[in-house]
Amino acid sequence: MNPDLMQAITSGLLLGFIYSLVAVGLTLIWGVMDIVNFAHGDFLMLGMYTSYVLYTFFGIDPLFSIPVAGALLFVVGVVTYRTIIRRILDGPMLIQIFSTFGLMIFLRYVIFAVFKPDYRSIQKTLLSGTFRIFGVYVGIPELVAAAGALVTTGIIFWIMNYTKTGAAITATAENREAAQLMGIDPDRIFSLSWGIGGAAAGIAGALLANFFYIFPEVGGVFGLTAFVVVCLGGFGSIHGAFVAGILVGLVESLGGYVAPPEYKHIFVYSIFIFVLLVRPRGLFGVT
Amino acid sequence: MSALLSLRGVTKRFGGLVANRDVTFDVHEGEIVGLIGPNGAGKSTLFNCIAGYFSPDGGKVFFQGRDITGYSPEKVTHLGIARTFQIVKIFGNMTVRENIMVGAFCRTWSVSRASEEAEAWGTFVGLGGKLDYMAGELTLAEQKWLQLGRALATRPRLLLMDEVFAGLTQAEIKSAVNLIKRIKEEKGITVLIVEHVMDVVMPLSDRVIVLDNGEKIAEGKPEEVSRDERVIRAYLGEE
Repeated sequence: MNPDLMQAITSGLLLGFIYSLVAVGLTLIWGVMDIVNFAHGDFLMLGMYTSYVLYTFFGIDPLFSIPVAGALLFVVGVVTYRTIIRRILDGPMLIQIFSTFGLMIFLRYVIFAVFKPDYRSIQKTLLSGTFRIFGVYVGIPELVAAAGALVTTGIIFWIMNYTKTGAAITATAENREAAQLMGIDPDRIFSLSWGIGGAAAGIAGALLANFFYIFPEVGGVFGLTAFVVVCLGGFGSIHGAFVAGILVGLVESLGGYVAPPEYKHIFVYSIFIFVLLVRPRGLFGVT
Repeated sequence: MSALLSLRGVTKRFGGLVANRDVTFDVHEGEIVGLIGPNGAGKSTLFNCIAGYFSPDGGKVFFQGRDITGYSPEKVTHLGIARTFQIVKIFGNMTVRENIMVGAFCRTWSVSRASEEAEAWGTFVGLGGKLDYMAGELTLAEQKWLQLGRALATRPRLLLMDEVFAGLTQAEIKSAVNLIKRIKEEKGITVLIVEHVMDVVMPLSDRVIVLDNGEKIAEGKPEEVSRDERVIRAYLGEE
């Protein structure tokens, strides 16, 4: 096979795993409470800055910041639910949209104010360098990030399908009232969903911080892509988000291969529009 | 004998409408009690006050001697009161087994334990052969059995059943009656059942409480109650 094509496929796969993880967090919240978290990409951005701060001020390698960012963004997710989302749960849809959209703007500009709009990156990490296999160059940070994303997505998948907590989340998503009858407190489940959703974004951010530029608006790119992934995979579907994340990663990468790289997003959003037209419930969505 | 469930002067208003006025009664361990009355008598509202969906405006609800007035539904479930709805509320996109497991998780963290319980309760309500069916694919009657199995899996001491017989065929009503008797006799669970079809609930109940216009108008053995003038009037709608 053409080595450039193989390179494109490899890069697409590696990126796709990250997209999957980001989208799993978004689709979880969406599926459980029908609320779109527009600040999801900015949760990821906060995860990146967590790594940046820990590295710059405390000399901690971004590899070790991953759990810290996950824990921190879990808390951010829970706090977001408790302070904002809980009050607007039964509000009009427009209010729900504006509130998380407002949170997105707020987070983004707080970071602008604190860190300035500069592009930053973390140099000299434990993970650096590339290796070559079958004529394809693989960056070690990218590989580790993809593996980390895969493992984290796997853990979330396991929680959702094979634990009491997952059963409670699924039941609450299906029927809030019936879940209460089974002794489940929906408020706790919502809180937990925001925590897990936030942690997924935070971990993805910390994984990306190993090799990606860190800037206040970085969440915009990933947030928007996550929407495409969730839409493609089916709203609320965890395994849908996983498969769709990889697909979008591949499409983006192959798009940059067949056309000039600056056009790669055209392919991604073409899929988005196509899915909306042909199969609005997505690949794995339930009606 | 102390009461398992006690209502003392329970009152619930919706704006100017009084749905329940000063309702007082006891349910004792091991009984099947029928809560009957014409449509709009306030039976479901009273159920919601017991199960935690509504907070009464006046009066108290006691369960095993504990004041549970205004407790949330999930807390009430943990204390040992389960309820089924008239309109089935199942988890349609989950299997029968998963549905019942959610109920069993009320008492355990163990997935394998919950799965075993799901098999046991699924079999008890007659869905043993359909454990891996999607709940949404079941017939209405089967969904009602599932709802019951799921409620039983939370291990209640008191089971509140809201109009289980509505929408069932004669044969299905018969098996429902049998099932309710088995719940009491084999599992030792006390049952409070809301129904407006008198001829089904009367032979089933040990005791009957009659509501009309939100108030308790009669209480006693089924044969006594069915002779009560006020009850007859309430059902026939005479002045």
